Amino acid sequence: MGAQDSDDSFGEAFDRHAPAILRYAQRRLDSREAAQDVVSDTFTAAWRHWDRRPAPAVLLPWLYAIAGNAVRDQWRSAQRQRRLTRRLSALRTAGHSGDPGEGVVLGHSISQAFAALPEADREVLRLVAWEGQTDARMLGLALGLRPASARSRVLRARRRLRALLDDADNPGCGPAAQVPAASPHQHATEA
Amino acid sequence: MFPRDSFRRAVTDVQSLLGDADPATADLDEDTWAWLAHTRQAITAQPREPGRRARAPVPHRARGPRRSVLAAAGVLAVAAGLAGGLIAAPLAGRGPASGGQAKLSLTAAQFLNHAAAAAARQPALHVRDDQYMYIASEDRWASTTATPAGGNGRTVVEPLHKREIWLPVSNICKPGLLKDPSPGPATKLNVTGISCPNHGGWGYPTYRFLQSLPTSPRTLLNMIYAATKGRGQSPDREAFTTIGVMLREAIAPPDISAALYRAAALIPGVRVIPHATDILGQPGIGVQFARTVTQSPAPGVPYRQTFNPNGPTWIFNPTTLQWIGETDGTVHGKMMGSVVLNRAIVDRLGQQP
Repeated sequence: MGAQDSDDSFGEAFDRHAPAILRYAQRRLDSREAAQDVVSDTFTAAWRHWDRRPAPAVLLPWLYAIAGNAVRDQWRSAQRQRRLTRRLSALRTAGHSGDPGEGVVLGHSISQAFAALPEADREVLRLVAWEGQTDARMLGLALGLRPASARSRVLRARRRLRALLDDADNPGCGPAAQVPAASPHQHATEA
Repeated sequence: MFPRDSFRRAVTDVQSLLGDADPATADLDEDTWAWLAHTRQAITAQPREPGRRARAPVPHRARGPRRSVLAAAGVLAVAAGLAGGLIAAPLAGRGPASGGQAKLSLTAAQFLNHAAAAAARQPALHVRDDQYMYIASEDRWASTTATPAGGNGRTVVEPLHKREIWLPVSNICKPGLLKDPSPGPATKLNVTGISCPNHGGWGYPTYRFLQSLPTSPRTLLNMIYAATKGRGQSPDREAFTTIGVMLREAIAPPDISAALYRAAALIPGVRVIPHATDILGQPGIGVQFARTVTQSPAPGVPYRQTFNPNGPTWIFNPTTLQWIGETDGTVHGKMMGSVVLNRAIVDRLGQQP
């Protein structure tokens, strides 16, 4: 593979996927600056490992996996904590600023249910609902899981989300009581 | 097949439930497109050398014979008496007779070299590959809530809270753990999409990565400059920030900690703040990188560095000269930052020393 070919294919991939990676970052981080850091870090890492990139068809989930590292770097760094994604906050904002009526109520209960899920569930739901990763193999690449594991993670996350929503509709009863709701000082996700 | 059908049903259901709540659907604005074009150009202008650059996996380099084990159970003990006796006196030279605060007439470079000497006197650690770095801190930061369009909304100061993090000492392919009520529930930190095993790098320093670094400050700083080339606002600022990452939530062998401080001492544009306080109000000595370097006003006139009293500042214990945390300005009258409560090597995720 010649250097020029690499440059061209990287440039094309950047133009095609950078907006998606930026949105990926915006969904998980709360400031424009932090999201831009993730884009920059992701494509810098991709550029350095460009010779080892996967086939074009699975390039985007590969980039999502790298971007996931960059997002976790932001999480990990205390200094950057202020930029951390507040998914609950973002969803609440979405609910409150939306159209009046049923949508707001619905949005609010979904935001609460979403926020109560373990982070591993939230992440797989984001990838499915917002990044459009609906193929188990692609999803697995983005999450660093085998396709079968990615598939079962989707099923589990959806089951838990549904249980929490049912619980919101029927307070005081329902299967959500069995759902391990997220709380501080709890192992909320699994390896 | 039944499981595949249920998978498809789940996907459709998830999309219908959450699709409308997507916080990032707005079109990118002109500035963002321009920024993307600039970023693409900046990235492709960098050399492409896998394994030798900033975030690439760092090859494990065998080191010499292990140093003798001085620290029980790998806990970083604070040699307060030793450092206090030898260092505080010269620093306090012309200081007030009471109050215990040093009046510094040292340059930042001199101070950092004293801090390096104190770091070098810490006991060596015996660390096994299956262990974890544990860092507990008291943190307070502000968070800005995101708007659906991806812009910034209201800024809220979080309460002072304890943060605990466990990070693998040798292989970042093993999950870490973060307990911090601010980001949310305890979270397994998984790094994916990298080659495994992996000793981490500048953005994700493990003990073994840090151990593999050179102890020569100049060599170390040159490596940092090379690894961060093209990133951030300026090479010096990026180098200072990168050293901060090595010091903040990581544990390094004493000679490497010392080398990191001595490398920081070589960076132009660092100043010392004799009477800084941490977020708990404890007195300390601050080290700060110049926030901005203004252009030379006329040929022959030196560049001027301006410091922001609210800029990011490393805080050192005035007696032991150990890093105790950092501050980063105030929001709504509250000081942002963190104070390290404890650092240790532990055997298991979630284990406290």
